Amino acid sequence: MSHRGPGHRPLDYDPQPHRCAAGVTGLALRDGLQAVIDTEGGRYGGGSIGRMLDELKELGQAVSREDASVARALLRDCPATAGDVLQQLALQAAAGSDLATELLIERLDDSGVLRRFARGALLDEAAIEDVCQDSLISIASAIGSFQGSSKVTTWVHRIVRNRVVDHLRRQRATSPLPADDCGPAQRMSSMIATRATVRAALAGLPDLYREPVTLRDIEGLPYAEIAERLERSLGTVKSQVARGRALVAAALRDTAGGS
Amino acid sequence: MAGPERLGRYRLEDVIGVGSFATVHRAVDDALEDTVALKVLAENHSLNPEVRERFIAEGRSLRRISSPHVVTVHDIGESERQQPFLVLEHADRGTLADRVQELRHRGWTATPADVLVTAREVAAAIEAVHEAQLVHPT
Repeated sequence: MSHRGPGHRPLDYDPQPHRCAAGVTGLALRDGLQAVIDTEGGRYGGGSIGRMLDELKELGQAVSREDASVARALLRDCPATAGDVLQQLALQAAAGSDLATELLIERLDDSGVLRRFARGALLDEAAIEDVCQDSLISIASAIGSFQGSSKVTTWVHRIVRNRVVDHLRRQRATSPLPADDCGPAQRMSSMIATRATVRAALAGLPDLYREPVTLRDIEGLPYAEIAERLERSLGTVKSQVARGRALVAAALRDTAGGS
Repeated sequence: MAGPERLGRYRLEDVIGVGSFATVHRAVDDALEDTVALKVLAENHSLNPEVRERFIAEGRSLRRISSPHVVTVHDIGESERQQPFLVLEHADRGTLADRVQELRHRGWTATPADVLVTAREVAAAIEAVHEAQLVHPT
């Protein structure tokens, strides 16, 4: 799946270079439609099945001849969550129709289905928004790989879950360390600093702080051992490391131009 | 600089339960001056969307149950390490098994009336769960 960065807008995608040939596409579409009717037709009464089939067919034809206004008019009357309509749009989008992709994205967005999937695994409102945006981009970029053998919502759910994982990984990568030594260390690591500038900043520290910070952050010794080596108390060493880091962070910030 | 460990506004105290997916801490809500139980999803499971979905759904389901015999969910939150956690009512009188064991050590045996009292409470809890259209997994 080609997932491009979150900087793109949902509809800002390129046509897929690997779309199926027209004949294969037609067969896949018919099989897919039949599958939809087989699985979902049961909830309609006798007369409604025929009407539903007609409407789906009309929609399919409108999309095929790139008639956006007729397709939109047909879609206006059916609920955004209607699975059969989503399935049909997905199949036509997978077959290479840009209009179907656009309509699919619109309907997925309107239906709130992405939001419902994202809310299942996320609590933060901003995170849910981000994941929905990322998911729409992924869906638009990868629709060419939708096979039609599963329900489109199942396929979409898998994509949302992948974007949830991406989001959580990104968040965790920038989240503070779990132990007692977060804060300044986190700020230091978040700055784009080369090893050389860190060393220069360390070298500029007063001896009192340079020794414990070097032993802790460069040599990775536990606090207890540093305390023993420097013949200082554990509490003293911890606070000296903390302050030393803060000074290094401040020095790095100055180097970086005071951001 | 290492103060007491905190999760949101809750100050963590002892670990009172450990499972394969989550750890339960006793914690203090300093704002409301109350002791709560914090059930925290394990760090290694917190990036798994399916496990997260189940954990969060459990909190949302439990929230729909209202019964003096079922632990209450006060809140849900997330740690800075992306671990979801449930803030639960702290049931501080231990497990039924511990209590029975302790009483037996003192020479007590359950009368039919004792068993009925307990069974009635358990049944009321299960009824409340079913009223919320849920099935207890165990």
